[in-house]
Amino acid sequence: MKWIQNDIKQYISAKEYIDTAVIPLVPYAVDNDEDMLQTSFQQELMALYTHQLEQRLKGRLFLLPVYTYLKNGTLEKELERLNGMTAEILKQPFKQVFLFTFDKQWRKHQSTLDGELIWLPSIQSGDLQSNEVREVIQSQIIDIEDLIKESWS
Amino acid sequence: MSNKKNNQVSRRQFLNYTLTGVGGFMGAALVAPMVGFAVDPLLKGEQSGDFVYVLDEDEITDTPQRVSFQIDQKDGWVESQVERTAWVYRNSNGDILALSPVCTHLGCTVDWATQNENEFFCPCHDGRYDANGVNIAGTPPTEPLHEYTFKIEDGKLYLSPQTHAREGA
Repeated sequence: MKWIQNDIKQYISAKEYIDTAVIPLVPYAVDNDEDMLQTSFQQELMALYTHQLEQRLKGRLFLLPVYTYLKNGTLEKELERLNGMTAEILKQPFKQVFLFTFDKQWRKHQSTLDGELIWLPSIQSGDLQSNEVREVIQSQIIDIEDLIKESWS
Repeated sequence: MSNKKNNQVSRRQFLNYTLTGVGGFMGAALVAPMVGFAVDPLLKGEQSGDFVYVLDEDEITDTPQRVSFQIDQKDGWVESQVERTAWVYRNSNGDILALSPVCTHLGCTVDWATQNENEFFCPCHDGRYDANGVNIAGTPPTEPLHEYTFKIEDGKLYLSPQTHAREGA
């Protein structure tokens, strides 16, 4: 399910089946060119991953809007807000909340997070249309899918 | 000058001609959009019904194989190229089937023979479909997998971007 009205209508009528929420965590930076390039690419990549996963597992996976934060900010400040959001999500009958990110800073805070952190190794940059990059992405998506399915069984 | 009088148009005739002419244009201006609206679906039908080549007829196997193809999708304001996949195979009667992989329960993607032999399986809520794509009673899906309209021309299989529910299954 995506964060669009049609899907939400479907969600409301079938809540008991959709028990897994996903929040993508994506940093952004606008103060220097290099970081702008890197974080925008991360956003693009994340959109691709989550779109594909959502398509495969639409009936059980609920994709929330992207959680954005400043790359150069302190993550400690984000923790409280993110955990608050997780708590809010769990007011609906979700069983678990996955946090997807390419940002390895989050790993240090894994134990403090209420959602389950899934850190994905990022591709630095590249042509998303090229066959090699697509193959890498495809195999990673299958891995993540398996991981989510495992949590269901 | 005076013997050219025969060729001259009388005031009455002139008015008649111009009024008929102008009236005709006005009439056409009214009718043309109506005719346009009436036949519009016909004009459009040809575009959205575009069939896409997916594979040759002799490549169709007895076990479902996953084929993907690109279609142009116009969704409100957004026009985009999206990938569609289908399970293509011949069933035990030798009929060709091109089934949509979208589970009829809540829209996950079904796989072939991952859980039980000769069955489609939906990983989300253990939905099952038999070898003809018909949902197995007691599992969440309420209807058979939808199918693509297809056609075969010169030994090539073409799929329509649209899927539809199946009758009598």
